[in-house]
Order: sequence, then C-alpha cells, then structure tokens
Amino acid sequence: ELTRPWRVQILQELQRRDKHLIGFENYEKAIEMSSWVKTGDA
Amino acid sequence: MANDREVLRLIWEGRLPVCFQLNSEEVCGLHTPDPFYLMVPRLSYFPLVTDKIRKHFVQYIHSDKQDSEMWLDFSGMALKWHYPIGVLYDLYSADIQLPWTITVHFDKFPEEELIHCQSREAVESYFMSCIKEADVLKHRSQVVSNMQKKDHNQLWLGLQNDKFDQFWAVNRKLMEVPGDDSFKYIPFRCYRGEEPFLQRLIKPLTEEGQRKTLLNLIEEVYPNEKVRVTTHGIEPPMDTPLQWMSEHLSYPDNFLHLCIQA
Repeated sequence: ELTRPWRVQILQELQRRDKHLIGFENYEKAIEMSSWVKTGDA
Repeated sequence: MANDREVLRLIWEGRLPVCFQLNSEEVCGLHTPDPFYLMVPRLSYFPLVTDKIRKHFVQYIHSDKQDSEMWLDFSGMALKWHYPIGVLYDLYSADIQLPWTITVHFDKFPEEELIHCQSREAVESYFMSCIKEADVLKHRSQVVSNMQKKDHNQLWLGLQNDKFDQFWAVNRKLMEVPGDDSFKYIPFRCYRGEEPFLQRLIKPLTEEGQRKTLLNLIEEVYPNEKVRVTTHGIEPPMDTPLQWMSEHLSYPDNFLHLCIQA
C-alpha cells in the first residue's frame, strides 16, 4: 500500500503541515521527559 | 495491522505552537503577566500540558481564585478538555493563525459548556474509557479485557510522557485483526462546529466484502451532503480505506476524530 496515491497524498500533506512550525522552534516543549517514567506496584 | 511506521510517526509528532494569555479581567494588581508560549502535542489533552501555564499565571490573580479550576477559551469559545488538542485546533482552524492564542481563566467556570476536570486522573479515566469503547467496536472488547493493568498504564504513560515506542508497544495489540482483515466496526467521531459529536456503527467492509472508504463513511453519516473532512490538520483523500485510516490515523484513544466542514 506504500505507493497507493491516497497514502502518498496523506504523507505529503502531513509533511506540508509540519512546515507551518518553522519559526517556532524556540518554543518550550510542553512535555520534556529524558527517559521513561516508571510506576508500578511492588 | 498498523505497520506504516512513517505515517504513524508523523501523526505522533504533530505539534502546535500556542500563546497562552491570562484573561485581562482577572489580572489582580498593576502588572499584566507576559504571555506563555508552549509547543503542545496535537494528540494530547490540555490538562496534561498546562501545569506550567497555571504556575505562570496563578500569582497574578486574586488570592480567592488561586485554587480554582483553570479553563481555556479561544475567541470566546470554551475549549473542551476531553477533546484531543488537535481536534480542537482543526475545529476552529479556519479562524486561527499560528501561534494559536488561547485565553486562560480561573473565574466564572462555564458550567453549561464544560465538564469539570480536577486532576489528571479524570483525563486518564476518560482516556481509558474511550480505549475500551473503541475495543468494543473493533474486537467486541476481547483485546482490552485480556490486557493487564500494566498494559493500560503503559498506554496512558506513553501518551502522557509523549513516548511513541512505549505507547505503540501496547497499542499495536489494539490494532491487530487476527483471523480477519478488518475490525468489526470503525470507531470514529464526527465534529461539526459547536454541535455534539456524531457516532454511528459503520463496518469497514461492504456486504460484498469490498473495503469501504472515507467517502462511504461520509455518505452514510451525511447523506446528500457535500462536505470536507479534516483530521490531524490534513484532508485525507476520499478514497482512503477506512480500515487503514482506523489503524493509522486514529488518535491514541483509538478513535478517528473527523472535523466536518460544509
């Protein structure tokens, strides 16, 4: 399915969407975790 | 099977730059606080990403209101915390310029428009109930009920901490179609303006066993209407198969969230 036109179009539109973020790279990230947060019951 | 990792990654990495500003009527004192700029994940929920916003603004409001529940509005419309951020953006995107400017409130909670969210646990509870509902539709609840509590936690923590691999290590089980080529029904919600979202029981295959497409879904939900569909900030082609969409374009709650415009 990788070469189906609908899949190619979706991929291209997602890449185009993310170009709108150019210029905002210095914004603080809302979620910044350096590693997995582990919780659990002993 | 959701195996198109390139698409899954792009969906997961969707971000929006947001400018939060305190409602000017709630500023107590001489100094108006600076706006707070934040890059937020499209797939998350506002209560999971706004701890910093609360801390930033709370010192500028009246002391009586400092323990009040924070809520948000865009252009006078209260933002529903239980909708994923990307859905809220896509709903109003025609009126938005980036960064998306959102007003922060601590006063006059709009009881008629919003449900309360006192903690992250409320979001977790809502998120897990959506996952369970989606699994009822896809697999008659057989996958989620066979999972362990640690799997549920891993889904939640993967979303909460923005960890793609952690989330998908479990979510792939929810996207499997053992023995079949498709889910029983496609979990989806359609949003149109301020109306409550619409859900219908729609199968991914026709009676003849052909794959249904996005166009088939739209014709079933909105017969005799010509509409545009946006999700994740894009308009998927109308011939995209529903089963593939469900596997690759669902939000972490396992629903497709489709914003409808005439």
